Amino acid sequence: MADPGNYFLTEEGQGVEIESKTLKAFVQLAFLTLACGLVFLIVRGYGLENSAFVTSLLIAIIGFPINHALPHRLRLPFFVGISMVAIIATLGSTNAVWLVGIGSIFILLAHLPIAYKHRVACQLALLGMLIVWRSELLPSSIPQAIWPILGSMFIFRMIIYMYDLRKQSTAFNVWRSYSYFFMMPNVNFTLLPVIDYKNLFAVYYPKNTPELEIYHKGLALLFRGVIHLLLYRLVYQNVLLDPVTVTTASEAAQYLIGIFLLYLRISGYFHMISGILHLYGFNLPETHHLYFLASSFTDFWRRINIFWKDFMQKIFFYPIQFFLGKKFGPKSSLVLATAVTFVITWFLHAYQWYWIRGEFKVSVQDILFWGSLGVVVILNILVEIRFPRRRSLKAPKRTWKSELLLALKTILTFCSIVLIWNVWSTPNFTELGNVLAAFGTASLLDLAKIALFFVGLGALAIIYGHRKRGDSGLIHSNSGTNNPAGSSQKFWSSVGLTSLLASLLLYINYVPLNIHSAPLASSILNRMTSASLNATDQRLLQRGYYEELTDVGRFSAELQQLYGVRPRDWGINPLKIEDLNKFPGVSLSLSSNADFKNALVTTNALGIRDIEYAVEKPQNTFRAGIVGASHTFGSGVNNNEVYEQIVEGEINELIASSNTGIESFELLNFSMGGLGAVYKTGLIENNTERLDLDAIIYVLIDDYRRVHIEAAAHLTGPGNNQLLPEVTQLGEQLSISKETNIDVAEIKLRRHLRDLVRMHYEHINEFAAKNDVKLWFLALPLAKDQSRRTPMINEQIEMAKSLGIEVLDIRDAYDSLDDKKSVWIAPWDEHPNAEGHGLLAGRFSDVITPIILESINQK
Amino acid sequence: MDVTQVESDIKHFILTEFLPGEDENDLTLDLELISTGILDSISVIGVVAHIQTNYQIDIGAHEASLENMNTIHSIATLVISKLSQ
Repeated sequence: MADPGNYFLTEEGQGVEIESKTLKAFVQLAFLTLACGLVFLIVRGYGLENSAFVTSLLIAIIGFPINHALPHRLRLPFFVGISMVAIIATLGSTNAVWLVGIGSIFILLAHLPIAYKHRVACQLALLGMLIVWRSELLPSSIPQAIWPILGSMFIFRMIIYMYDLRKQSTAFNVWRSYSYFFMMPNVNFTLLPVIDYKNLFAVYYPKNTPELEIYHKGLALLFRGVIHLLLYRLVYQNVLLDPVTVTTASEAAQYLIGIFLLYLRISGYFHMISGILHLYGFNLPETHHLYFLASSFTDFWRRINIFWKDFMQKIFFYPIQFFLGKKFGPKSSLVLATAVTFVITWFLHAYQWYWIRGEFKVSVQDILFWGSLGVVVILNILVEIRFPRRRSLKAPKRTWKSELLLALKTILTFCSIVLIWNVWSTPNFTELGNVLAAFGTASLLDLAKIALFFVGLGALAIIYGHRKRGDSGLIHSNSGTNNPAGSSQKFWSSVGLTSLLASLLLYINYVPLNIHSAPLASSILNRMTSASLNATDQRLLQRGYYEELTDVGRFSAELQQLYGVRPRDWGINPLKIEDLNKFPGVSLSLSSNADFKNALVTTNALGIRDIEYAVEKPQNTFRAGIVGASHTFGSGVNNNEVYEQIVEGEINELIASSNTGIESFELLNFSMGGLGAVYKTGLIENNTERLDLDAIIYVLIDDYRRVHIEAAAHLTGPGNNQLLPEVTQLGEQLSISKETNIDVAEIKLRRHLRDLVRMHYEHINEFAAKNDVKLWFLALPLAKDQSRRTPMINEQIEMAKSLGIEVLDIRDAYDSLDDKKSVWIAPWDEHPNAEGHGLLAGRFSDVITPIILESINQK
Repeated sequence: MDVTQVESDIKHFILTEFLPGEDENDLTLDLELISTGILDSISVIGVVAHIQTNYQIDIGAHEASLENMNTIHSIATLVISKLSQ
């Protein structure tokens, strides 16, 4: 039992003496602090994490030199204090009091002067009460925002804490307890490495390790975390595909690998968390070690989320194995213990899900993932028992044969893990099956692309696969170095390199690259600086266990506000009605008001977002309709700020001062978020005659990608009566019927994108000519890197021109902006704000006013 | 039995079981066995089984820790402390 008398004593301060209070050490510390500042600027500049974490990181970096300057015995209390500051800065004082209050009760119960089993019983009783409140079975005053954080702080660490308390294998005191549970920056993350209590304090300013070396390692880990998060951004923006767009083998491989690479976000977070802890003296080992280069399943288990493996090993695997070993012998007990450990791992992941999301998750995907991983690890163990791996006290002799074998094993392990990971992440197996089916169409070019990737992976395995944990990246261990000059040289070269790379990244962020000779590279790098949703997520939020638990905006509106991230209902337009029974399938509520993306949206009696217009066109009026998607709808700006309304007003002012015989110009806005060619064509057909339109303005932006999705919805859904006959005919040719799975239909139609787009443009053109209506296409800009869309827009412009349609190109509307993000409606949403719409209105007015006036005169 | 004898026995066991053909002079008493990857969770169980059988002592699961199992010296120290209980 813990001695309550000792619990309130501070035992820290008995570690190493501060060996680094010389001028040289001071200079090194100052440079480390400055380099940490550069990392902070990257995190903030690239928007790598939410604003609350940015604040916590700043607090951590400011506190770092102060902590170092303090006497050793005061450092842990200071760490507790600064962790509390981060909690209050993130959650606010009320939430912070609840969080620390409930946590303190848990800690208090752990140290009551009663028998251990009674303390555990008390804790379980408290846990039961919290589950009742978390599940909302009974009302409580506990703020919703604290549940995910309370869960992330206590659900696993409390198990370790109680285990170590029972074994009394290390010291316990109040500062240790509070720094263990409330450690900065836990408040900013719903997932944290499962840090072991005993090990945490075993590596707190350890003897024989220079303090500067620990800090130096902290900087390297922070920077490595940044690199992982940037790579995650790179994958997210450039690699990840919408599964319905996958048609070739190389795209299928890209999709499958992209899903697995999303894990970079977790390893990035864990490196950053570990880096911050190092700045306060916790010399923790690596949380992840080159996990993409695992050469077997057991190797993968030992490289990815290593703290989790250690936690499971300490609390479950060893106790179970030691218990069973006496009854069943070493081999059987090893297999049984591994199997039970994986069952517990599955359960604990569902338990974690419960505390963070508020619901217990049992899914086939989870069971299959943990079951498969458990089986392959067991098989791997049996193989290792039968054929023990080769160990050596010297660096192993590397031959061509050994290196090729390593590369091959790494590639096979990678492929297997990617497959299992996708089974875990997929929302439905039909979709995954369709992706895998694309491998059946592999061309030589596809195979060459895939082979090239694996050759690269094999080469990386040969170069880096031999590295031991803690011996990678920018970290240079100085322990045991007898040569201070060499040690100092390593310090400066490492910190210098980190600072140089950090400065380069900052330069790329603030001065967008424009490499004329490599436009693709420019585009990829520029997209890395964007925190907005990628093309896939704009249609469906990305999937995966970790993605679902780290994007707080998806499950906690309260925490989303505190973190300052994208709200879960951000993209949902409350006025939009989707009903495939009524072609074209989408409409807006009539005469309604709603708040959408922090702006007032009002619809008129015609069911469009605009001022009121009579169904019957007034005399001496020129009436045009504009059909676009979210930008022309005005997502995120108020009614009177939409660019088409501004231009409508300007043209009316011109008409009023001229003598054209026309008294009024009306521009009816039929736009809605997500409209593609099928829907737009339907809206044009349904409204041109009814509202007696004189002109139609068709807005090009991203129709290209949506047309097949819309067509698939109508071909497989209830309402395709008004689909173009050519589209219906194409559907028949492709054997798409009402019984066809919509995902399958989308994949089949994806191969005919251009045909579909052309069919609709030809139809609109013929329709306009037949009804004697003017037709213009309008090409809008995006307030971000446009290079990926430029070819698609250009292709559509060429298509339109070949049909004789006049195209109004205003893609230069934002060219005057130094920073295009300045006109975004939110850090995660690139739709233009009022200023952006003002710029659009200016350019739109330049091109449309003369031709409208000319049309009026002709009329 | 003193610590030197136990160290010698454990060294011999590790060399035979996990490092066949290696030079025994390279296996020092303070070499980090787990941190360097010579021992993993499965081989630690083998070492524990050897100790339990050879010295007729009971090792708890919590004692199969990095602290106790990382070097030949720390393993021998654990054995001696158990034998003296």
